[in-house]
Amino acid sequence: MSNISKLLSCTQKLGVRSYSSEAVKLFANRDFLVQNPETKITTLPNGIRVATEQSFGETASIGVWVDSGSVYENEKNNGVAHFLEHMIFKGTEKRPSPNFIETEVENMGGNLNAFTSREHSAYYMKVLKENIPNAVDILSDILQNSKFDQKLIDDERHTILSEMQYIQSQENELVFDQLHATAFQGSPLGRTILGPVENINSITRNDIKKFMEDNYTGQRLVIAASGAVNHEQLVQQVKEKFGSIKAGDAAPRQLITNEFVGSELRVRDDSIPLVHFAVAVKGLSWSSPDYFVLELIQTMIGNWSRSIAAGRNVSSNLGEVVATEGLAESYSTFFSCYNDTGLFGNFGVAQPGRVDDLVCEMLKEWQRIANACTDAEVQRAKQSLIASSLMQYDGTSKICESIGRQVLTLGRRITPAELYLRIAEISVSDVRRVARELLVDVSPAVTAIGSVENFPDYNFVRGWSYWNRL
Amino acid sequence: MLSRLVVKKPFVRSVCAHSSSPYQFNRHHHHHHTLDRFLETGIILDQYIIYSSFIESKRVAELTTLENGMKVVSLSGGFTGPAAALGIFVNTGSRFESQTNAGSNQVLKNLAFQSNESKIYLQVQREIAEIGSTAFAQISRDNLLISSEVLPPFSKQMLTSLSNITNPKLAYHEVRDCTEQTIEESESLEHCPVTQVFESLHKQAYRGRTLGRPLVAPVCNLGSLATEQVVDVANSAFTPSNLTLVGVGLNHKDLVKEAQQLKFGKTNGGAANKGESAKYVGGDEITYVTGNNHIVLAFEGVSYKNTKDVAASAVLKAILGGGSIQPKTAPGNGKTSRLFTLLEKNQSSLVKTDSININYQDTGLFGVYAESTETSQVGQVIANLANEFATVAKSAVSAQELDRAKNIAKTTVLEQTDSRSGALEFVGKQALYNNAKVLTPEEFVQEINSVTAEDIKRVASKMLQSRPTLIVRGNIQDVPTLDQVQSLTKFF
Repeated sequence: MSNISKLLSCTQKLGVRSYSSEAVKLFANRDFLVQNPETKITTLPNGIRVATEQSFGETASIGVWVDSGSVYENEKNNGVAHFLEHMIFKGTEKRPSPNFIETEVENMGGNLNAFTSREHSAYYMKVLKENIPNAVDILSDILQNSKFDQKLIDDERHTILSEMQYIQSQENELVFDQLHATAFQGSPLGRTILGPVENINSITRNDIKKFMEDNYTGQRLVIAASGAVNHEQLVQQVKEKFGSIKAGDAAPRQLITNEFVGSELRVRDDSIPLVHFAVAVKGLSWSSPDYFVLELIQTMIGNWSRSIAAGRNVSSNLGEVVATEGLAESYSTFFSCYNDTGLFGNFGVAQPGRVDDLVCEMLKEWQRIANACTDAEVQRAKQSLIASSLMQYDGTSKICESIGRQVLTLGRRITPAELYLRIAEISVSDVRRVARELLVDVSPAVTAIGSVENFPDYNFVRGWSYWNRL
Repeated sequence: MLSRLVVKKPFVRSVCAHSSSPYQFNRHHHHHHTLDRFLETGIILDQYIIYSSFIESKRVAELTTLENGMKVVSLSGGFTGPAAALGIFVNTGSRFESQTNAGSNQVLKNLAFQSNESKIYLQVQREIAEIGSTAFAQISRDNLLISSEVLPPFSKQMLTSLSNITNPKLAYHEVRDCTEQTIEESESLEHCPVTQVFESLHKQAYRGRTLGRPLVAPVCNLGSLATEQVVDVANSAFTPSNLTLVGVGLNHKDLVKEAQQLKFGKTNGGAANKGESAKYVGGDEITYVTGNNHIVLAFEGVSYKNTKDVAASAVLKAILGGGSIQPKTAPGNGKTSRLFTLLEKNQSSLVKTDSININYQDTGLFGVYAESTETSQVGQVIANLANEFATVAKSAVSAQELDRAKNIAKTTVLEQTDSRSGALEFVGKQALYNNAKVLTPEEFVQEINSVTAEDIKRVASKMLQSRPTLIVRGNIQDVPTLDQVQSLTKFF
């Protein structure tokens, strides 16, 4: 018997609660869970956290994660976090032009990219192991010494506007922007990441610099790395290159409240042949103790699309109904987390004539899970969630991304073993409890675009969120 | 309490493992030093979740041929995360098809997760779902790949499922339904210009034979495709000597042992699919459509057999590169490459450029691709593409450009094989193509390291000596003839 099995059987002897024995039931051999590199985290004097997982090999992914996104903007400068992310690549004193940076990155065969979300910005590189010091230098340079050339700012407005045009041609992106706009109306989360056209046209060099000074401070930075990276060496390099960033304060999260508002926003456009919609409830924040239970519920409700091989044989109950009745082109279950709130619900694409049945079936499934889900289906979903969560550890880029996000949102890293145990301990009663708290008798946020004429009235949807006992 | 813990080295506690745990539980106040709920079970689980027994190891590729002729290849060592990949390459595909059974391999692909001789379709699919695995089937011109990812404790179960899949039942109604599905797929690809251009490229390059057979199942033939024909194709495809089992992140010896205990294929023996060897011919095809123009100019490339040339062609591809304006190409994806530079210079006409490098077992294709706006001068675009290619062969690349391209080629291979499924294809293909030695990604990187400017010139010139293949979909008004194209690329 392996040491780990011994450890777990020990805990059983201690007569403790059932989840460890549930865990034992699921896998006979759990050694693979701990054959994962250790996460090392060091906090520098200025608050920057350096988090690494050394898995060796020939390449490394390294990135800077910033606790800063559109949620820290106001109405006037909405869009500046994203604008800033674009301008970071446009040149520093040492690297005078965009072309200079691009050539330097490509000369070493690396790549450099970035994204901005509602709560985070990230800048990350993938390089051969001998180029790690160079990567740290590039990241530190662009994040501290960017020139923000006025002419390049003006040129970039055009690029961002065409990015906006692209996003607005994607119905699923539009639905989620609309969903945030209605569910978090009047709150910072309700605004879009790109910001309104007026702001994109008017944001100044000073706006960008000010936003960076206020938000890109030591306490709000995480430098994450995975692959052929040595922790102590990286800490040393980061100390040298990022040491002069001032500590500042932690992100002003307590100042931001994002109230969830049950509401509806529909945009009728009959030139779009289908209905694209989302029905959401207030979900959970990153640090909620029920985080994994809700992830499990997400797995149970599942996803389906016309192109999946399993067709009507999918393991989710809703998927089977949708496939058999031909209710949708596709549907998915989403769970977006934020620092103080979250969104949970279903996204769907359907023919106008089927959409009311589809929405009804979705909410019926929520009620079924809250009131009548079975042990067998919970166990099956657990197995599938454990597997899909563990399979996320696939390649240094994905791992680096997940280290950065977790350290930023939770202040620590969740190991495969913890992930496994947290999911394995969930019971049917946990699932029903969380589903009842979140999915039963609630006023959801509803949004739809396209041929929405036949989309059910808000009060119908609200009414489907509970079952009457007769 | 800690001393009770028996743990393997190395054991190092993470700095922040629970100093700021977000999981706040009030039920257990007595554990004052942490809020973590795992303390409910005592300190031991708490240690377990941050315990690491990971040790550094190099990736190793191993190949074993079983008595029945099936190959087992694996890539182990390195770091694959808490999961493994398992797959089977089947030596079949459209290159082995005839005029009468064209499209049958696409049907076979769709039949992969239908009933087999051991399980009915529902069991096949549910068994995979039950252990949380993901699996897909993919058909190419010369192989059928059934690929899966699995948690290590279930690898044996997944292997059993895969072995069952290699013995499909091919019931009449399932073949019929999957043929229907194949028709839908083919129809949905009818309006995909990139697919169509690549179909034409192969058709012309190999003049309708072998690799020039249609990969997208021809709808006109699917209607008359009989179940017996699909059964015949399956019978000759699913023989052990046509199968290559691939494992990533699993112990090779164990995999071989487990594979020996299972029955793979429909028969115990049987010959391997041979087919005729592919002969590059070259040619052109122009098709009128409205909208953007899609253009391919290609030559005979290098086959998988010659590792040195495969490495050189990968570097050549990095030199030519490519990219697009929207979505914007990020640094590291070809921003400094020749084709991206061409695109930036001609933003009014070019939308997207790319270089093509396909290596087959006995031949290869290498070329350039461009998407240009409806109003662009197609003749000029082709001249520009031909010029970019010819320049690489004419004048030696600078040391700096060569270094850059080698670095890009290296990270491209390492990035692809960083994921389990990418690694599976990397080693699986080498075994499928009967390479004497299966290289690890790191060994292939060494091959790239030794590529010289002379190699680039040699490989590029050799390609340009073959007859060009020119495909244009869009504005066909001023497409040059093959002779004209050849005069643009010929310099010796």
